Parts: sequence; C-alpha cells; structure tokens
Amino acid sequence: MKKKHKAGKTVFEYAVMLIVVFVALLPVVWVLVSSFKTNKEILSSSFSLPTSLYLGGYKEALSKVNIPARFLNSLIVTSVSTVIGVTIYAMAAYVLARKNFIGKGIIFTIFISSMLIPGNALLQPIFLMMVRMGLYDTKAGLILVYIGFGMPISLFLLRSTFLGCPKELEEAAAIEGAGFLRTFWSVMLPLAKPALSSSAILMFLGNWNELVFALLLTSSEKNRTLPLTMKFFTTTFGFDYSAMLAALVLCMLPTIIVYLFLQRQIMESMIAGAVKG
Amino acid sequence: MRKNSTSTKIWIILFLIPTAAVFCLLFAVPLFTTVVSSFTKWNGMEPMKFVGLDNYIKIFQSKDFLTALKNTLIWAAAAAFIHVPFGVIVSLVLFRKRKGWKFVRSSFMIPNMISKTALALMFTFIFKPDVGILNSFLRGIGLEKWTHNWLQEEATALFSITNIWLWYAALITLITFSELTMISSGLAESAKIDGATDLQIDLLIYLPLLKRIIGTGVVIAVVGVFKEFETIFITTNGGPGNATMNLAMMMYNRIMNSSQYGYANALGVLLLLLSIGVLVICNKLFAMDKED
Amino acid sequence: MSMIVTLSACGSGAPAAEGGTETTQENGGTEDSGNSDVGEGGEITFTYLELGDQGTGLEDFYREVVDDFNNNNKGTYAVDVEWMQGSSPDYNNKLRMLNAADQLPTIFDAGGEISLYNTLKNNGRLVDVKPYIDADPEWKARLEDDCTEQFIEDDGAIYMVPEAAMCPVGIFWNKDLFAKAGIESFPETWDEFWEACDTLQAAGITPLALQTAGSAWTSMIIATSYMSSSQEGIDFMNLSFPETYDTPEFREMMEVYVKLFQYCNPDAIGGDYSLAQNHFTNEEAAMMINGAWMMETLRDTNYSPEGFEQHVGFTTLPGKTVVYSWNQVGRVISASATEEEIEAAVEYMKTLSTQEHVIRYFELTGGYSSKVELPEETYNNLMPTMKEYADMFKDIDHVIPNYQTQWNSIILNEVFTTDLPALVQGSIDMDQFIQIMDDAVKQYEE
Repeated sequence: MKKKHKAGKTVFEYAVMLIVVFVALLPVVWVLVSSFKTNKEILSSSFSLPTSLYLGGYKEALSKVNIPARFLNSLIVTSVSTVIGVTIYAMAAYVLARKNFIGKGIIFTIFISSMLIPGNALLQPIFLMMVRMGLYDTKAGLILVYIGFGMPISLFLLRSTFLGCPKELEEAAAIEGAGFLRTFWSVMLPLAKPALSSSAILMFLGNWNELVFALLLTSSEKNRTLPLTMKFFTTTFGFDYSAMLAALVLCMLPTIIVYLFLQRQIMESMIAGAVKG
Repeated sequence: MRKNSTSTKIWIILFLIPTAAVFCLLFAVPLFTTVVSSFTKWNGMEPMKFVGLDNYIKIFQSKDFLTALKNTLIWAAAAAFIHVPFGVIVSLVLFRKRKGWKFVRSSFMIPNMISKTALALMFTFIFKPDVGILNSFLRGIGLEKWTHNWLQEEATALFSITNIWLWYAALITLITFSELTMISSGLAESAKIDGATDLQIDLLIYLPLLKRIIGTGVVIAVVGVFKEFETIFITTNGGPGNATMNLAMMMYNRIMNSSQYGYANALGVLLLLLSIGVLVICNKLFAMDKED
Repeated sequence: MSMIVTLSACGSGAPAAEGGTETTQENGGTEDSGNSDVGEGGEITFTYLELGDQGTGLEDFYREVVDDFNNNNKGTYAVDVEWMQGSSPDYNNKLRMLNAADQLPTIFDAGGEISLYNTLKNNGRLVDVKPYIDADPEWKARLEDDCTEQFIEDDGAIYMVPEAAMCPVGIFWNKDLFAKAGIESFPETWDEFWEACDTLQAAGITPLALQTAGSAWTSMIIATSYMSSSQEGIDFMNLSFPETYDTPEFREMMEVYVKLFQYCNPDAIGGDYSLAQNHFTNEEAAMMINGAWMMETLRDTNYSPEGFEQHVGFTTLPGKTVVYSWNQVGRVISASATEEEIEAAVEYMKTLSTQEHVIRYFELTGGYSSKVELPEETYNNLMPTMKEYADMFKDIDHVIPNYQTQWNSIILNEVFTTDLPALVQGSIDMDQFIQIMDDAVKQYEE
C-alpha cells in the first residue's frame, strides 16, 4: 500500500517535471527550428522540420542590422541597470524590512504603487521627463527607465526576504560593535544572496526583451538595443518571419548560454545560506 | 521598539534616497497624472477640463465594461489559483531533487528569455484553424468535431489566450525555490526521522515558511495580469466581439484609438484600486508584513 | 474620375539615369542615421522621421532620395533621418509623444493617421506650405492637380504635401489557377466576379486570400471597392469620417463583405496579412488584393515557389476600380522649426517629386504619376506582373478612397478586428454591426 502510494507520488513528480520542461522548451525549440525555415514553410507548416536548412533569415538579419553593436548596447543598458537597481533596492528593502521609523508603511506602499500603474499611463510622462532631462536618445535614459522597471518586484522580493532573516544574527553583530553599514554589508546581504540573485535574474531578463520604451526613447542607431531588431522585420506590409526569428535567436542565444553557464554558480550561492526555520 | 540613534537615522535616509529618487523621476508624475486626469476630459495635448465623475459614469455604462471587468477578474483568479500554485508545486518538486531535476532547473527560466511577441506568434500557429497543431492533433485522433478556430470563436477565445501565459510560472518557481534554499534542512530531516512523508513535510513545514513569498508571488502575478494586454493585442485585440476584452486592453484602445486620456486613466484608476485591494487582502492572508 | 494616361512605350528624353541613382542601392546596411556628414561648414540641418518599411521597397526609395538630397545640397542643407522601425501605429505613437514633448521632427509623414494630422493641424503645429508651392510653379506642376486641390484646407492653407505618385490597390490573380478552373480572363463586373468565385470553388480552388486582423486590409479593400457600383456609394466613400453608417449603400457593401468569406482561406477570420499573402503566394488562393509593393515577394523564393511571378496577373478590382487616397501618405513640416529649417525641408519635399525620383519610385514600389512618362527601357525591364500593373493605368474608371483614411481609428483598430469576426461568424447580425459602427463614431467624437 505504502509502496503504491510512493510510486504514484513519483509519477506525479515526474509528470510535473515533464510538463515544465515541455512547456519551457517548446517555444525555444520552435523559434530555433523556425529560424531555419523560409516564410513559406513557417506559415504553411508551422511545426514541421525544415525541408532544407534555410540561412536567408540569418543573412538578412545580419546584413540589415549591426547585431554585435546592438548586442553590446543591450548588454550595457541591461547590466548597468540591473547592478544599480539591485543595489539600491537591496538598500531600501533592508531599511524597510528591518528598521523602525515613522512613515515606513506609507513609504513602502508608495514605492510598491509603481507596480500598480498601468504601462500605458507611463509612456507619455516618462517620455516627457526624459526629454526634459536631456536623456532622450541616450543609454543613460534607458538605464534609468530600466532601473525603475525593476523597482516593484525587487523591492517586494528583497523586503520579504529580509523580513524572514533571523533577528539573532543582526543582534549578534550589534553586540560585536558592527555599525549600520557593516551589519548590512557583511551580515544581511550574504543572507539574502538567493533573493538578490533572483531579483537580478528577473530584472535582467525583464529588461533584456523590453521593446516599447527602447523604441520610443532611442532615435539613433548608436543607442538602439537588440530587441528592436525584431521590429525591423514586421512592418505594416512587409513581414519576414525567417529574419525576425533569426534575429530573435541571435538575441536570446547569448542570454541562454550565459544563463546556463552562470546558473550553477547562482544556484550554489543560493544554497549557501540556509538560515530559516 | 528601540529608538534609532542619529547615525542610524542618517543611514536610513541615505538608504532610501536612491529608490525615492527613481520613484520621483519615473513614477510620481504618471501616478499623479493618472489620478488627476481621470476626473477630466483630456486628449493628452490640450489642457485638461474638469468633468467630475463623468468618465467613471461613462465607463460603467459602456457595453464592454462588464465583460472586461469579468475577464480581468477571471484572469486574476486563474493567476492566483492556478498559475501561482503551479509555480509553487514546481519549486517543491524541484526541491526534492529527484533524478533529472538539474535539467528542469536549467530549463524552466528559458521562456522568460524569449519575447512575448514570439511566444504569442507561436501560439497563434498552435491555435490556427486549418493547419494549427492543436486542430491537426484533434483530427489525427479522430476528434474532428472538437476542432475550433480557437482564438476567434466566442466560446474558446478567452480559454485559449489564458493558456498562453497560464503555465509560464517561472517567476513564481524562481522566487519560491530561492526561498526554499534559505530554509535549513534540519527541520525536514528531523521530521523525516519522525516518519513524516514528503507530502507532510511540504504541507506542514515548507508551506508555512513559504507563506510570505507565496503572498508576494500572488500579488506580483495578479497585478501582472491586471496590466496585461500585449498577449491580447497580438492575438485577438479583445475579440471576437468583446469576448477577450479586459480593462488594460480597453485602456490601451482609448489612448491609442481616440486619445481619450481622461477616460483611459479612469480605467487605470479602477485597475489601481483593484490592485490595492489584492495587495491588502494578500497582506492579511499571508501575513506579509510580519517579521519571522 | 478619369485618369490621364501618358505612360508611353517610347519615352524619349528621359533624364532618369542622370543623378547617380544606382550608386545608392547598397546603403540599406548597418548605418542607420544620416549623422555622418551633418553639421559641417554651416549646413542647415533638419530632422526627419521616416518609417523604415523593409520588404516593400519604400525604405530603399526614401534612402535614395535622402542620399541624393544630402549630396546635391552639400554645404547648404543636410537632412538627419531617424529610420523608425516598426509598423505605422508605432510610428504614429512616437509622433504623439514627440509632439507632447514639443520635439517634433522638422519633417514627417502625417498621412498614416488622419486623426493625428487633424489634431496637429488644429493645434497650430504645422506649417502652411502653400506659399512655397505657389512660389515654385515647376514643383506645383509635378504634383497631381486634383490632389493639391484636395489638400487645401478651409483656411486656404496647405499643410500636407502628398507624394507625387500614387500606389493604387488592385488585385493580383493567379493565372494558372484560373486556367485550371477554365476561366480565361479576369472578370470585369461583379456578376462575373461572383461567377468566377463559384467556378474556382467548384474546381476545388480557394478563390480569395483574406484577413480580418490589422484593420481587415485585404477584405475591406475589395468590399469598399464595391461602392463604385453606384453614385451614392462613391459619395459615401468620399465622406471623411461619416456621421452614420446606417445607409443603404454601406449595408449593401457589408452584405458583399460577408459574402466574400464564403470564398476565402479558412484562417481568414482573425488571420493577419502575412497569412493571407502566404495563401496567395503559395498558390493556395487564386486572388489577393494589394498594391504593387507586393511585387518583389512574387519572385522571392523565401515567399513564393520558383517562377511564380511568371503566372501572376495584376488588374483592377471589378468595375475597373482601384483604391487609393492621396492623403494616405503626406509630408508635413513642424511649426516649431526655424525659418531656415522650413526652407530646407521644403527643398527636401521638392526633391521627393523630381522626375528621376518619381521613376525610381515606380520601379521600387509602383508609385505612378500621370505627369511622368515611364522610359521605354524602364518599362521593358519590369517583371511581367509589373508591366500589367503599368498597363492598368490606361483603363481605370474609378478611384475609390482608401477607407483607412476616411474612417476613424476606433472603427479601424477595434471594431474591424473584433466585430468583423463576430459578424462573419454570425454571432452578431448586420443591424448590430452597424449599431456598433455608429457607437464607434460617437465614442470617437467624445
């Protein structure tokens, strides 16, 4: 009886894992396979294998757009905003979770409200603000906007983690005479490593694919980011799915490789700090 | 409550300033404009004209509003009761580290690296009426009469669109998994020695400790679907009729197609209120403000 | 409306090859903005936002004009272009933002969305270019008379300068498939058209490639062309933003619209332009409505089978009708520009309509001007379908305005994408649909 129960459980676990892998890999595989198909094949037989390896999409994508330059732009904009963002939100989240001061709840609620504003309501005011600050068509402008986009989730996540950290460690640090900064830096941040890496991952990936603001806030090639390349191939009367998907592959492949490579380190850093319970 | 020393006070302020600055630069003005303009007639260019509650009254009278609200709430429920639990279950299953779990761990995040446009494009090919893979499959197993123009028939459209995002819960899995790694393994091990099954450990030890992060996940997911219109925009635009309309899509239409910023922002305020409601409920339900 | 046709097979004194037009073909590459040679030696630089529309030849054309302009005016004027990527809604959205920030480019295309043009015009954001047109009779003579007439506003000003050539929409038809069904020539009247549809269908061929997404382009064009059957219909189509759609002509036209869906690809409902085009270029559908900018895809094996272009014809819609509005493309100058920038931008407008450019415009996307003779050599080098297109201009009875410039954006972007599928599937009836159209008019006027 117990054995049967156990077998059922294992089946359930593997079923879940199978679904996750299937759901997760289907789009990537589809994009990858389709990028080697002609438009004809993509539209007429969307899920079959290509009859021959069509490289026209890649040729088109690489000839029309300076992919390496855009990749570099994306990398700069996304990494800088992620690093700055996670740093400042960790600081704010720490204070909001662990310190007591007047107006704490209100400040947190106000910060979190940035998550609640519908995206469409953000477009025009942010555009105006960027123009006024002279940040239109600059990388700095995009970086600032992307820092902002990471705010609600990072803040939320990090605060929740800091709330869960045991008080004793902080108190012990205080007894040892550690000041505010040192407690934050050498006690709290290491504890929150898993949440820090999660919010960095989420922020990086969220902004890596951002299109709407990148399209509005840049006007010259020197500031254009990688995802805009896809816009190149789906216009009102022209469509080139082969080239679009090829561009997409060129856009996502580096991220996937870097992610797979870094992932072990990220996960190991997570496992380092078992502190709850 | 211990009093903060002066230096601590200064540090608190210093730690809050950067975030406050970003908030003021990017979100303060939009938030203010959204709320204020919802009581005005405004085309985004000329000065606002105060009209009181006009926009709200018009919204409540509009033929699309009830459907849009209903769909918005259906999505919120789907996010809270299917999307988030699925993500949590995945992280718990992963955490048992069965054979092959590393492969799953490496792949579950990958869909987030693909743009939504490409994802929606793929799903339109899945749901296409003639050569779509879903219909081909149904025909293949002899269920010809179950085939549909999935995205364009009133009965199936909302269901189909929901499936485009419902199972992509990588965010939830990621944050709960990272929270799980912070839980000391001692608890689970001693419970195991006492004869607890895996299921009991999950339900009685892990879930209570994950409460706060699950609450966070619910808020993020629900507020996310409140604002979601891209998936709809790419696939059905809210149709057929208004079968897949939601409040965010309505808002987008009013800004883009008729420059009714006042009206659109009134919808925005309604979304804001809904989101605050969710936030408050989750705060209570998951005791999200409490320290451990 | 009659068309003056001067397209001659013996274009003698054609100055087309003069201005180095071939040298610029290569530059579609990686360098996007014309920043390179701007600002040196007291040149007057002005900004220009253009939609980089790949795959239709339009962008290639504008790039040639820009390069020519910058080369010919070295030292005096320079244009700094942002090639915006995306679709026209993206373009108009960016214009809206730039306008709100008072950062409009000196020159841009305001034809894509008439409501945006109207708002800009009514808020004094645009420069009256009529004095410049009047001051240069040569330029004026290059523009089509009836279209410059049409662009004079109530206050006597002209804000928008149209292209010097038109790109009318007609019908592409697959001669092989027609032959297979036993039809010799393309039907000229609507009765013959329906008959042909039935014959094709009986032969197991899908007659029409249609779509409803993206303001229902392929399907709505053919339906609105039906309006040329009666004077009332023509008058209705000439109304800008009609106050009601509850008219017998519109109702009749919509009956035609619904009927078209008996003869189309199964994924037309909810389908987009790419699906429709793919059905046609893959010989799965016998007819498709579009303009000459689609020509290139006929001989591109990425889209079509080898040799496909040899058996595709191009002709007018039934009733010798084509669809075009002069104001679907039109450049305007921002009122925030300085006097010098305005002069420079006007100079650019003139460059767009020079004879050599109009000829290149024809070659690249099929822009046709009644005032420019097509050189014999150019004509002979055209692909067969393009020749038929060029010949078509000799025999056009009606030019029906493009519904996209006549009807409001709620109708185009919301009603059409969501309620046309409902109407065609029968979940709403005609009365309800027309009611929805009229509601959209009211909503828009809010």
